[in-house]
Amino acid sequence: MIPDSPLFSPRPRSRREFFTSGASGLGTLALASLLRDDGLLAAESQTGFKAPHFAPKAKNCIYFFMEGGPSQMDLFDPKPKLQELDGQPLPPSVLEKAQFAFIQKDEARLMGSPRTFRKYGQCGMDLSDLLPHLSTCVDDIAFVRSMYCDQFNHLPGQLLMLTGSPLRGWPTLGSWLNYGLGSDSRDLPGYVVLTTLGRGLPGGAASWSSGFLPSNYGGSLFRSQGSPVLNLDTPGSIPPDMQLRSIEAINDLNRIRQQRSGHEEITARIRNYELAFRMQSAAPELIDLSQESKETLEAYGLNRSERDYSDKNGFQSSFARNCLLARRLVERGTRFVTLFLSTWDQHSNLDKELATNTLISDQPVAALLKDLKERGLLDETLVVWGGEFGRTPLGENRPGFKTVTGRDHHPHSFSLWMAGGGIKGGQVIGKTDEVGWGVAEDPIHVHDLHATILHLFGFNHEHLTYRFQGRDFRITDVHGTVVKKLFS
Amino acid sequence: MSLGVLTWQLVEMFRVLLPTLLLQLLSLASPGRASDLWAFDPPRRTEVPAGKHPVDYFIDSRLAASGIEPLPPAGSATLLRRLFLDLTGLPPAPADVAAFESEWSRHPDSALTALVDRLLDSPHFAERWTRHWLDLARYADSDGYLGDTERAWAWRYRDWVVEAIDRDLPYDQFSIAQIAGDLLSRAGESDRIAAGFHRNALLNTEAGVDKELSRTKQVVDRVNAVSTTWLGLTLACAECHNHKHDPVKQDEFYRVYAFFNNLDDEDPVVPLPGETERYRENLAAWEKQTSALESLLAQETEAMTKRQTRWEAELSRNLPTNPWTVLLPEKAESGAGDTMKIEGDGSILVTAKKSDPDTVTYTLEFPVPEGLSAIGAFRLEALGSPGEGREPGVASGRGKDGAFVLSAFSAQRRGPDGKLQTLAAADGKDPIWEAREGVRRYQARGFPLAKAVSVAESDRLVLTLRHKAGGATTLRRFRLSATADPQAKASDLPDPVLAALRTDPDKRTEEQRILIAIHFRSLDSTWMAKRLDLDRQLAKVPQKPSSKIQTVKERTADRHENYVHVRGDYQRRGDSVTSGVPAVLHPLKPRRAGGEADRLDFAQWLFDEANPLTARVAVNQIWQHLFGTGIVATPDDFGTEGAAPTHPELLDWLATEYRRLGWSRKKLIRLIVTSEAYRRSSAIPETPPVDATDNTLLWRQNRFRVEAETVRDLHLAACGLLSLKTGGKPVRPPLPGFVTEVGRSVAWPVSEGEDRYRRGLYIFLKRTVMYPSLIAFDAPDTSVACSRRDRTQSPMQALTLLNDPVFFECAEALGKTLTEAHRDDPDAAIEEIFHRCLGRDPEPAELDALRSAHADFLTSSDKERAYVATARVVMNLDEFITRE
Repeated sequence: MIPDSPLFSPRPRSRREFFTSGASGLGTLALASLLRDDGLLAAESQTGFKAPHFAPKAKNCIYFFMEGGPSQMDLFDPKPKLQELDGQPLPPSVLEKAQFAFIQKDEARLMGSPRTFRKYGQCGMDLSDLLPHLSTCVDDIAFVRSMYCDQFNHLPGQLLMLTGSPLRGWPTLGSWLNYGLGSDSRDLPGYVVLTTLGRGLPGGAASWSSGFLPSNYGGSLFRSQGSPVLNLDTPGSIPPDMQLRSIEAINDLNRIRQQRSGHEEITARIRNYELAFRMQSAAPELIDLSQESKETLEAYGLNRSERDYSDKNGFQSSFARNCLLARRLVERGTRFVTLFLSTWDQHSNLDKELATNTLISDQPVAALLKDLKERGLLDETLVVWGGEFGRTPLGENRPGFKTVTGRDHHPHSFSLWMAGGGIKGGQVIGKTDEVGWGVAEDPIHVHDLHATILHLFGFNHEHLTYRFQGRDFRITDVHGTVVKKLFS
Repeated sequence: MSLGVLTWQLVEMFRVLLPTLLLQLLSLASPGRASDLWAFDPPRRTEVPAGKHPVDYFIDSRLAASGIEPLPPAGSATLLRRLFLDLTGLPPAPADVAAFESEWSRHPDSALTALVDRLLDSPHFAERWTRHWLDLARYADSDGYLGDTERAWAWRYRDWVVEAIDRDLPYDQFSIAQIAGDLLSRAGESDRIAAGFHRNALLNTEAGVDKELSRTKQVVDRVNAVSTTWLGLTLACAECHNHKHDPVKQDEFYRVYAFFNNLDDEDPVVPLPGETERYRENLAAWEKQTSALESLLAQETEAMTKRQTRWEAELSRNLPTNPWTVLLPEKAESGAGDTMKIEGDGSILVTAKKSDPDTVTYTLEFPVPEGLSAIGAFRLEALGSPGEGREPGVASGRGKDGAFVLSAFSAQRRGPDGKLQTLAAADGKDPIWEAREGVRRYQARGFPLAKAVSVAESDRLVLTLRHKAGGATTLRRFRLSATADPQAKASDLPDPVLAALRTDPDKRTEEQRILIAIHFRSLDSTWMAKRLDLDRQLAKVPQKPSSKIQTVKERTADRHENYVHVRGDYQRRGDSVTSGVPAVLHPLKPRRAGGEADRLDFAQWLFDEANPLTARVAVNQIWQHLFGTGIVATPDDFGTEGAAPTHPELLDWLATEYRRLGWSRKKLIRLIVTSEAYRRSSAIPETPPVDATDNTLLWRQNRFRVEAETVRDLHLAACGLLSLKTGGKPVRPPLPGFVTEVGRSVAWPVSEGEDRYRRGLYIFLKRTVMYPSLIAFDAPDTSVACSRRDRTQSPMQALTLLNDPVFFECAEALGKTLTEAHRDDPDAAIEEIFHRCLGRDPEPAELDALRSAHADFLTSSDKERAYVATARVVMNLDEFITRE
């Protein structure tokens, strides 16, 4: 504790003196940076967390949630046989049992990919021509081609991927990790959400909800520009020195009450006002990119002039910006960052729209991986990239569609990739069958993915539990097997 | 299927089944302990010695046995605020404080009972306790999931709860109505609204969703909500398989499931109180005005008879023959996707889509009419009508006042070879026909060809009408005709009227006479003006009552079958089951002996005297809201894994007492809050009798942060902005765009006027965009029944209280009031802030601290701003949002 820190002096003292010093140089920001070194205010305000079960490989996680279901056979999983059978019906044995959201079963035809695939990196990874930047990072990445799930529709699929349950009301992965590990950040939330949205997210705020866990484990939605956090800005008519003086008075009075009533919750409330005050300077500092080098900004593509691809929420370089913010967040101790990019739900116009999605995301994602690596953060930062399911090898012939230009939802097999945080890069895990319908080797369910992620963070997924409605819940419910190949 | 896929499926099957098999083996090895469980034995009532308050008897005997001296009662100010917050969720006003303190100093006991009675009588008591109930009912105003559609009538269920609690509807009736109100023998509207409890379940309407899966998940949720709310058990644990120590087996879960497996949603019109009466009044008033206009019009019609005779005489001298043959369309399409209805008389009626592109082209295809071998001209008739009787007139165009603007006309002939030959084309920079007046009568235009072109029976005529003026100025009703004569004119008489006029007046049919009269009137501007007045009035006809409710009805035909879902998967059919209750509980006797029990039987079974859980669970819920923690700390789990009761005899006594009091919620609350245990101080003394944090034995009251809605209500009440309006549609206070825009359905029309300042209970609960300041203070997310809210602490709460625009507006409002009342008297202002916010006087140290802060604020702001900042400090205090 800084002996002369006026904000946290245990007793009321002369304010006039402080105000003078405030005006003469000890400004709000300077004070805030002093406070940052104040050992009193470490993450202990987050109550109830447990220690990991064993030594973790990962400390932080950046999760790219590619909402809508990216098309795996156009990005990560080349299927020569599918090209060959372009225009043919699916083998009857498969078709019989198949369930679709929109496809008309009987007339459905396989659809090849117009993309060209090449091998990249020392490991010789196949990637589509839509990913020129990611292709330079493949030796750090483990590609999984054998993901599967059991949800056909966006929201249940997304909730399953985000929370382990297709139903609303369960905590998201970021909440579980913050519940398990607490936050290392003293002045920013431990779980931050950044969004680049086209049509909006099907689940809205459920996509970062703490579900039945206490609400302080929920994600905080940040904006990439303007005021980053809801209610972060002091009302316009309250100047910074008045805000500081107000918090000081609040804490003085709370302290008096604490002495009278003897309740420790008041001490926690005092700490939270201190933390809130620090966030008021830390969050704007987080999104202030003026200290980033020109090279960094260029690498992430912040200078790119993207057209406005979206009908709302201004896509302009916001995803690139969010990628850079993700690095700045983990640098500052935020445990879990989710970046949503919406939408990859290409029922039609797949070729053009997929190219738009990769144009927006390929460069910044690759830049983030390289940036984390250069700064030595990749070892302890797990990066995950994926959607809620994949897309059909069949073209989508929904009634009312004049031509077949897209693919339907496909939970039976899809791809995602992971890097950093203990992941063994330069490998492909799993195989799909010839046409990319089902998984042929190493099936990995969403529960297995969650079990593996928790393992990387030092948790046995069966033992990271929370008691609710008379039952110990866990993110993997009664399932989940750790996929050891991913990290060893 | 490849070998690989088959292999993993086998592996997967074993992987998922193995743990279940092991569990079942284990449970065979250790026979269930369920029957030993206290909660399944009926409550036993211990006799309380006369003269002793029952609550204190049980609590004090345990304290005495442990040698713990309880704390003295809280001071009158603390007690007053505690009662206000617990019973109404609102702070006492400064006048309440003064009145109570004077009463208290003279007759403390009667002061207390009078206050309790007053608060229990207040409509705000019902609002407060409704909010507790809505947590269990997982109430929300939208579906949840992708579309998150608004539930426009959900609030009628909420208002039903408020009304029921307000009139202290006995808890058994209150409950039975919600579980099975629709099945009651004389189910009234009120019972059907109550059954809307089941409609609060989440609903997935995403396109392409597995509807049966979605339905079964709703049934599971309903079983879960009912069992959590009334039995304090989560039966849904047994949805997928048996659990070793769980007293409820999987097949038993599906027997309870059977009670809820045949509910169909129903949204019938049930007028709001007064709605039907208002409709009848409005209708009578409207009828009176309409009749007046009708008689004016009738007078005008009468006056026209002579004019019509003259007009007819003039016309009859020079009546043309009709050269036109109506073209009967085979196809009619609109480029804007409008609906084109082809009527029997060859006319086309357009119902436009909502979107109005700038250019709209109609394309029509006709066979060549019989007897027409050449075409010399086309005629386009714009078919407006003036209106007749109570049938309002219709304009021929869709623009303002019925206008239309036609930009181009073309006619082509398509031969059997498919080649198109243009016959006529009218196009140009200016519209070829712009009609802004006379659109409620018949109008026609001719489009002559340079010379007649011969056509064959195998040809098709393709005509296009193009509108380029935008703004929906398209034709609404029209017809096309053709003739061989290029000189033919389009008359301003419709063909049937012309035919009627050409008929000898004595030989005209009644229909023909009417046709002529209607057409003549349509030409008369005075008559038309009066007709238009009537039409405007007709459009204002009061709407029939249309307010709906959300309820359920039991499916009678085509019922869903009841069977065990293996591993919770409805597609994996296990043994068939009939409805029934878990064997660990008392048996259910259906009303119809020998028949299968229904939902109403189940609801009544809950209140059977032999039911060991319902009353205990209910009193525990009430206790929890008055002491911060239940006698059973896990209100959702009275099962084997839940917490044991801290005062089992008290719990049982209260359970039996609740029944004895006729399930009166108000009486039970009155009993509890008049105990000494309730009235104790919550402050921890310097030398606590036991570990200060351990209050299991209730040697003091608990001290806890108020619920999210109360945080809001306290702010609004303390500054005087709060609207005390009760009931009605939910409100939407302002929200920043970046909060509302994350969902797929983003509309958040902000409420106006006093609706911005309604109690938290009335905030629109949109499941994908929950109101942030409620979520920050642990309001439940409304997915499932919530029997106990978290009470977390976070920096987000601090930011919310400091900076949320609504809360800051409250500080501003209070600062303004203070400036008016105590412009130059800061001490008086500080006192008033304390009275309004905390219901007490400031202590000297507090006064000093606030004086000093206020003085500092004054160095950089004017007097009002300094008061705003001072009020804001108090509104951010822990004590302000705490019930002590």
